[in-house]
Amino acid sequence: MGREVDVINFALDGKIDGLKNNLIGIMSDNAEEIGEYQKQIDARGFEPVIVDPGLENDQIQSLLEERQLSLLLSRNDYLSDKSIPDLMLSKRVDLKPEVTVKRPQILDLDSLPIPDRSLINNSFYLDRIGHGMTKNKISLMTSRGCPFKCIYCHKLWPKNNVIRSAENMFEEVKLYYGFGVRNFVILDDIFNLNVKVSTNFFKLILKHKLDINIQFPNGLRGDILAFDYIDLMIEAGTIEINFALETGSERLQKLIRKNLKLEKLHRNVQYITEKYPHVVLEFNSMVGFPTETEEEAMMTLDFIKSIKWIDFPYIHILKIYPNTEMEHLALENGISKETILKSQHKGYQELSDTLQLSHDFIKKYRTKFFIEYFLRKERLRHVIPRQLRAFTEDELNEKYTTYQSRDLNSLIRFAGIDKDQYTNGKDYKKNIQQLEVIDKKIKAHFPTKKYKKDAMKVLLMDLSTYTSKEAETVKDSYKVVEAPLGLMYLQTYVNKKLPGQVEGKIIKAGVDFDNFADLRKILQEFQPDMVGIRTLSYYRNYLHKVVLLIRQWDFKMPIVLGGPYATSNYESILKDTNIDLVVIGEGELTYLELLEKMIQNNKKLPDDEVLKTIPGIAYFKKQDKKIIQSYSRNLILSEEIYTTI
Amino acid sequence: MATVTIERAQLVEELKKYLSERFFLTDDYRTLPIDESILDLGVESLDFIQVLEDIKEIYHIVIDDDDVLFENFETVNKIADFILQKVINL
Ligand code: SF4
Repeated sequence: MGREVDVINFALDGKIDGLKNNLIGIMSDNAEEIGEYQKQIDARGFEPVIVDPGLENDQIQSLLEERQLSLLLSRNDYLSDKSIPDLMLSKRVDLKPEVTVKRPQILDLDSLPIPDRSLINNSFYLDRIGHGMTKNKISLMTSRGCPFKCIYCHKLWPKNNVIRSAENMFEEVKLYYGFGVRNFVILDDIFNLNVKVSTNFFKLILKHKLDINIQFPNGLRGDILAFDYIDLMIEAGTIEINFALETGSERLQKLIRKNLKLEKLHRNVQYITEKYPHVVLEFNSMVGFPTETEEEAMMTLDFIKSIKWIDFPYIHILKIYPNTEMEHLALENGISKETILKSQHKGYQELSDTLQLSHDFIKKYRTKFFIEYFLRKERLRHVIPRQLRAFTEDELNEKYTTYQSRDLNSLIRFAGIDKDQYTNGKDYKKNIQQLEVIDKKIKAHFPTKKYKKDAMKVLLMDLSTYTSKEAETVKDSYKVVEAPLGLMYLQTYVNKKLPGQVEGKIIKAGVDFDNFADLRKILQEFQPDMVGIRTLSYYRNYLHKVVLLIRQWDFKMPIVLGGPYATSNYESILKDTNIDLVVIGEGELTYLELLEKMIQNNKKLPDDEVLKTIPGIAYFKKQDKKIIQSYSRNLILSEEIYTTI
Repeated sequence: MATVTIERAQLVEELKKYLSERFFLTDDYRTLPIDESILDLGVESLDFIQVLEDIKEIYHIVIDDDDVLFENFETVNKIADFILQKVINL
């Protein structure tokens, strides 16, 4: 049992003085594991406290409080549905972090340099489908901010919608067009909000005769489209549009404050399907709003069924995020906070206890949708041949596998389609260059980064995908991988403003490392002065596990969080005392200012006096952090100790 | 060729056996309830493509789009009714 001795030794190493008592928590329901640890713990004169991983988060917290546990060992998989910050910090601490003044919105997006794609491993992303359906594509972000008030939304970004000028967007597209790229994916939520600018963008594409494909996988506002706008966008090369319907019920549209004009949306979609059947349509909808009735859910299904045909209609289970108006509505309607928290790790297809409609109904509802619409042979025979003309078989296969865990061929067989008649992406505007050539051109275009000898080193990590093992642990099969555009924006901006002074390395889970040992190697080799992490709320537990590990591996550099999860949850995030600071909202200016201050401070986080002058951040003041640390528990991922020692 | 004289009781047993084994619903197919929704018994929405294909093949019936209503496939008994009706109409 030598390895287990190591585990307990490691767990106690350097921590004995900080322990409040001689208790060591073991989160496990495995008798053998408990027995092995128990022996080792007994041998050292400590006492084990067994924590059942099946208990609710709250119950575990109470047990930890009651026994005043300051050290807890757990296997990685037990923590997948727990709130790690809540396990780490005693409930008795009620300190609030410092939040500095709000950072003003960047109004002139043209002032930001075009993201430097030589900062990432391009060939990997070019070779995969992301949110858009094509490979070999370049994804663009063209606007920020949203004036709408959907209550399920985090509303992380400013209300004011700002958009790059048509010329600025066109310049980026033209650059990559020159490198041989023909597929462009616009990641904005509502590209068509600014009709004038977006119209001009399409006109520039046409004027310069760029023969490209454009995809809008994250949604256009479907009820504000006009027929001539639709004609223009499709003439400019649009081949894929995603519309966010959410619900087919007028009452729920009002309740969730999406306020879509359903009739107008219907009319526009009908227009596209009739006039431009080659355009691939995606539709997002949700079921399970608080107070939603079965009849209202059926209205959504009826809306979808009334359109011939939607290529990829989605029915998601509503996910209620903490700190949203939807959470308030849910609480008002008797859905408990605990249930909401517990549902956070669930995927958009998983049934959750936040649903007021019965699980039986939802199962039937989804099956009805699947067999009566999706599997309708008439539909499959209409959409698949068109998709085969626009996309390669390979791309479609990836799409269907992610979409319905179905391979394309099984659907083709089912619908009796003669594939040979359609394959090879006949209408597909192939990139005119090979991936490697495009990659080389990208590298040649962006200036080689030369860093000063004493340049500050920052590791920027995107954790909005899982490593393979983690995906297995949390049973996540979502395979879409987007290039870390936000992190590229940050580092490109800093490279422009502080040339040679900050060596930023961008990595993404599942791409640049696919297991924790590799991540550790990257950290050891790069030796960053700071780690910046960005993720989405869905990956919160995974993020906290990675942060735990970085500390478990004994890296002591500041860890800073930014992006959607950080912006919406900074208070609870900072309970994780391994995290030093959170950047709220848009990152470029704050990241730059923070780095400037760190450079002035010998690459260390500046003092509170300086931090409080930086707009848009949250952190605990030094003296509060000390208090917090004294109430904080050491959490140790037991099976990762072997990669640690 | 389709067996027009297919026995209902025998058909129900065949369907119970098929569903149990194909989707690992129970160790003893004879215990599979015939009036419970097959979704509750462990068949997933996405499995229906398989159910439709297999039924079509095993019983040599044509399943039109308009036949593909969840109500026709909800329980073992309903699937049996559907097949019988199709076979009779052959
Ligand atoms: S869901 Fe989209 S449209 Fe609605 S408020 Fe949020 S960003 Fe805006």
